[in-house]
Amino acid sequence: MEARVKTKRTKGISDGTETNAGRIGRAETLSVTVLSLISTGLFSAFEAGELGTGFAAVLTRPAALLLSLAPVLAAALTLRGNGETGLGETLRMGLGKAAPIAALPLAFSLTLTAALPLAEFTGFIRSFMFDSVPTLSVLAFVIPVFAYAALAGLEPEGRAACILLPLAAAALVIAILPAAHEFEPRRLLPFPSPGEAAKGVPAGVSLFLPVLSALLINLGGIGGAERAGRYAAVSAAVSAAVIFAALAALGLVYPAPVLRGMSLPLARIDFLSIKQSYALRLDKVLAMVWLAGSMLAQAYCVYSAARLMASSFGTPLYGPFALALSIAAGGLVLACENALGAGRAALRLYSRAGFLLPIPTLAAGALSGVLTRRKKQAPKRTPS
Amino acid sequence: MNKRRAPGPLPRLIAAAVCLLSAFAAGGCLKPVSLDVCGYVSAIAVDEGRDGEYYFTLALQRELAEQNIESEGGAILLADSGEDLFEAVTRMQGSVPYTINFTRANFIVVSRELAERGLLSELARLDHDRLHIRTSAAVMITQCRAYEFLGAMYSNNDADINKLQSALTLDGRRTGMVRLMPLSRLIEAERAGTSDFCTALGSRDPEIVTDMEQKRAEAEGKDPAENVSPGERVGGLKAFMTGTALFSGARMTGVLSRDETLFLNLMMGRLESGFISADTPKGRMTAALTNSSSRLAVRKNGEGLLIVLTVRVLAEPLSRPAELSRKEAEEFLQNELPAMLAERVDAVFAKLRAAGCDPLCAAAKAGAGGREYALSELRVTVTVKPAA
Repeated sequence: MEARVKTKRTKGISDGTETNAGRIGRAETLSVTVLSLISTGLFSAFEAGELGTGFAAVLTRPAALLLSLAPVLAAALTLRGNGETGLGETLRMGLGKAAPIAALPLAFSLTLTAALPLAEFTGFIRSFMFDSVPTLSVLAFVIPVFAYAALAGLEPEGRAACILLPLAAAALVIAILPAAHEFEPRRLLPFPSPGEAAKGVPAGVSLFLPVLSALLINLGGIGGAERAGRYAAVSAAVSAAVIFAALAALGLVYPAPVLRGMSLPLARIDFLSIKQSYALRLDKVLAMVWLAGSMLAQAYCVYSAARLMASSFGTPLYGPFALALSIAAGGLVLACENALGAGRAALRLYSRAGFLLPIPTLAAGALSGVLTRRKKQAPKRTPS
Repeated sequence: MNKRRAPGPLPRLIAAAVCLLSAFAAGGCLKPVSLDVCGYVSAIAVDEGRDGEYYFTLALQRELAEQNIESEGGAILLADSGEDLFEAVTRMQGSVPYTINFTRANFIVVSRELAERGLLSELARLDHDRLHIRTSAAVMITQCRAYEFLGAMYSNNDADINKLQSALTLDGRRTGMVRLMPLSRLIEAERAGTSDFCTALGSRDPEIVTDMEQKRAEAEGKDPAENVSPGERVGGLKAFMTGTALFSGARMTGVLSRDETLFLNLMMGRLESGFISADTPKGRMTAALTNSSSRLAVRKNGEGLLIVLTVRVLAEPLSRPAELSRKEAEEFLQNELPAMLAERVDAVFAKLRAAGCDPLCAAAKAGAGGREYALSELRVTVTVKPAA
């Protein structure tokens, strides 16, 4: 009788194939990262510092995005010598059983970053599209799809992003072009002073730093730290340009005092025209296209958070974490939407200090990466 | 290397069933709503009511199945009082067998007396999202009672009341004598305070013989123009635009006529199409004006402002005296008409300044306020080019 020999996988869990998360190439990586950055940058609610004096977000959000590159590129540099070992695996190798504690801040940031745009869409749908339906009813449709995408893994997300990114971009152009004849530069006044504009930067970094850090988590699926650094730089540059252009268009149509408290203003950018053409009544359709892109983009964030936690625990099975974090994201949307006093206070605190959250994880990962590389490079003692 | 096996028949069946269910859910088949469950409001009118309340009139599109040649108007009017629109709608909702829906509200009509009292401030602060009122809805003021204006607008029995409404917006695009503004501009004026609101002013003439009345008279063998005096308008809507209402802040403070509104649109670079008559040495001629553009520069000038306005417009002679050749007419348009237009623009600006209305946002551009605007001086240069 022939013995059945099980082939043991010799590659590390960073390979990703055994978990069916997959590997993606340049186009998919850039698409999913750009989609996540643009979705987060354009569809997260503006904080008080971004609308204080003039529409500071036009400058602060792109600037915050480019600033967020620095810690990510620094961390990528320290992870370069470790092949395609991702951030979670590196933490596990360096910190052992303490790795999940180090991973938790970044995982929480990613989950909250995923919830913020969804909260905007949910608010728009329930208040503007339906007759005050409960948030839970809307989430009952959104969260299962979102969770499914997070569970599907990196490869399906990357490939779907290649399709959805051009659609979302086309929707952006279709929304903005008809409003062009209503642009008035005086609406951007008064320009905020550098000090006033700087108040909005921490909120922006809180949004973008976790998304860029997701590249470091998925090193095994995207081809290593060197590529991750390149992808981060290209994605940040492209996304910053798109966010600047879209927010500038918004600022040329609505002055800052009108934007305060307006949900999903990009969907209403054509409301200065009283013409009744079909092209000017696409706000809800466009919002649905953006929601589809945003669900995928935020699912990528939740998947990355799940992958980070699973790897830090030393297991390749990210599924339970993805499911739990998807439900947690839904809970965070409920907290934002129900306007609980504690929820709003927590959001304000996050917008001011949330950029600090991913730093401990990135720092621990960088340190672990250096230590692990040194351990590998140390000459092995051979028995005499 | 492990090969992935193709999924078996059961997972495929499950996937197909999920896709099918999703398609039904996306298409609304799980909870379909027929058209008559909602009454779609096309226009809202606001008048002063009794005991400090407001009187709200809603014009709803009547379903096509109920249309017939004998009935007047394609709209159903609902009206009730309330301290605000929410209260009035709640009262009206109790007496109708459908849900009042504002997603298609395109017009908000406010009576002049309320506009002069500053009601538009409350209108700007309303929770429009809660009522699903798109802020692209046009806001206008009426000389008569607002509900009378609505009745006059829909009294031509056109099946599609949106077509009736579009007649008013087309008036502005074709003649340049109407300036209809959306609710979003009012909200901007109220919240940002950097511009003043101005919008169309309307009225009604109940004596106008509508198309429907002519048809009825002809069907009865009568002369449709029997009671029409010479010079009176016949046909079309009983409601019409008379000019522009000017606001300083949230309060209506002045009025421009239709002719003056053309020059307001010229100043703002929003004149798509208009007509002007001018006296030449050889007689009166009429010219079409199209595609205006304007550029504004403002600086402080002592206690006031110096507003430098440059206007460009295309002109084409439409009718001219027989003695005036086309070449002479075009030369007149390029050489003489600019000064005439500048004079008229200056006169309109004087009215705007007197009313404290700054639709050009001149004060905001100079970082000044209303006091400086009241002492401002306008220098306007008009360039007329021949239309190709």
